[in-house]
Amino acid sequence: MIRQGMDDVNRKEKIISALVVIGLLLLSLLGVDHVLKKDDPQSMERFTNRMVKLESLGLPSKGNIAVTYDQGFMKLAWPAMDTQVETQSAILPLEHPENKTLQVDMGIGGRKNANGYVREGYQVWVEVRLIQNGIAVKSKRVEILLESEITRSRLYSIRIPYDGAKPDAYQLRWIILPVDGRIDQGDLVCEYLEVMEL
Amino acid sequence: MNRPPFDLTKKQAVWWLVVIFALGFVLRVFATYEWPMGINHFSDDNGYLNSGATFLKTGYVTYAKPNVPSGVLGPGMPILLGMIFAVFGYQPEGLMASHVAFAGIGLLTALGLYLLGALLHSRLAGVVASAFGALDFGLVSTNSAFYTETPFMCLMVFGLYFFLKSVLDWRLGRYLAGVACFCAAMAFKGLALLLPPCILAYLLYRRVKLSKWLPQAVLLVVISALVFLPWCVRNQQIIGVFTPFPTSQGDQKLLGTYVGVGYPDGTYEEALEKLDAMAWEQGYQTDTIHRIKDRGEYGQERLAQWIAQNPLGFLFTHLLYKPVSLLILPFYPHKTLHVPLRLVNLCWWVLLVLALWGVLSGKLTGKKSYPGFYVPLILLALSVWVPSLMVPLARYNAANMPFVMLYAAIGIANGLPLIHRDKSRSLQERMEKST
Repeated sequence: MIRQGMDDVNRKEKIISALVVIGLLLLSLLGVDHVLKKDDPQSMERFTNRMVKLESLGLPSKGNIAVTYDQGFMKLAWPAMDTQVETQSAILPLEHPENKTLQVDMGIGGRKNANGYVREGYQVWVEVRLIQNGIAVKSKRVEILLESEITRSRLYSIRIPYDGAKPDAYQLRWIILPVDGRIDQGDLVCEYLEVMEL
Repeated sequence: MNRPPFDLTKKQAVWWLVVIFALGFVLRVFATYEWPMGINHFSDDNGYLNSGATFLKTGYVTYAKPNVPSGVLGPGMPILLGMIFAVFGYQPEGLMASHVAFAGIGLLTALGLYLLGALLHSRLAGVVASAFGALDFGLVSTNSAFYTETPFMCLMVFGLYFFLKSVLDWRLGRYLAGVACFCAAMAFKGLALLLPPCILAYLLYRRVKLSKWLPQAVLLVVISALVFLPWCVRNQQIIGVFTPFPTSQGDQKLLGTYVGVGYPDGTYEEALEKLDAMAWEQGYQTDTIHRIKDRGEYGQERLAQWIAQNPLGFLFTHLLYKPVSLLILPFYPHKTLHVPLRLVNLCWWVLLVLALWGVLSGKLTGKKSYPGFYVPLILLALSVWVPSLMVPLARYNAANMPFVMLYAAIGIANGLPLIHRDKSRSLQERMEKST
């Protein structure tokens, strides 16, 4: 039944409605201001250029891993082999060593090597090492599960708190491990890499 | 309206809901648990994952490329996933938790279905509807990956509930909750715009005077405009169009002109070849947005050609062929817990038959319909017809699934007393024979 109350919007409801509209108007104006600030050229430039230039990692072609760069992407490729291979970046300085956590986000795609918990061909790990006076004091790894048939990239992230350590630099290590005693020929493409000191 | 005699008490309903939600939660946890970083289909869900993480880090709305602001999605997913990631993170262990949290929204939808069922029919119908919503494998699968459909259908169910409830039993708070659900749903999909006309149709059917609902309608328009103003300004800056809606429908529109009866000659592949050749000639082959826009415009031309060449075929296709094609497709994006697609399809078709019975059974058995009973049906009909200009993809049917489940549950609630009566009758007959 349509209640009687629907017939006349009472005074209290009018006041509440007006307050809601005024509050939203203020929020909306703040939102517009925020949008315009986000769109200013400086903010936009900071946003679009915040990724690390992959060439600057100085990741060498090493052993059986070939590292190449194309249109801003970094490609790692390797032939079929039996034993673990790895390559590591140059030691890169932290810009804000006074911060507490390092987070590395990567967009990586490549030849399929996983389907849920089942692994095939090879395993890929990326390790972030915190470096203090040239010595690795802490590290953390993430497995790169390449689950797609269409080699589309996915976001992988490593977050490594300093926990009392005073690192002044970091290093990235790429490790290819065998599955069932063998590494198949494979490749992967890192499309972007973002390093955040939090 | 009196409740049917064959109904649950409030206490019974609560117990059933607890059991259903527990089962629904376990299913969703197991569906996610099969994947070490949560389910990722490397489709739109991958783009949303990126968008949520980028929004959390930068406050910018992006899609596949994390350093390019995008106009192909609404603000809903980046904000929602950004909030979930803020709690759990998007590192592998956090992603699992985020997937489960996201899937939990599916359980909220089931709760909304209970409320709607109880409002429009009986607690029994509500409990059965919530069981369908929580345990249907199509929805479990949809909820377990990051798709807009999960929050969208939840908000549409609650939006409809709050609006209907406020029409039946007016309270401003309820109405504002409906407006909030509507605005939030709009942030995920423009199809939310279909919600207010359904309520309006009901008000007109009830012959409620204009002066009584107009202030509320104005309030809805003003609030929606204020909520989406910053987003429209943002779209103006980024994609050059002052609109709250995403701009990515071109491909689906073009594809839709190759489905149905009497559509113009040519194939989709030929069209793409032609349009891509044009993009290369004019030097915008890397501009995906421009290319998708071209496809939409070409699709529009083909639609006009279709109407001119075969108007009857066009009408038949868009009024019947495509809507029915869409309605019979359950969305099952990912094989979940080894349940085959064939079984999901079969369950869905049973639900459709039950829903049809649910819609008709009241009339067939001579019962007076409950107030607002047909409002979800209007929403369902509009939601099936409006996207019929596009290609009928199962994903477009996902948001319709809860409303089909609602009527299927009503069908069961209407059918149970009949079975019960028949059983009593046959028992009586047997007793008479034996004496």
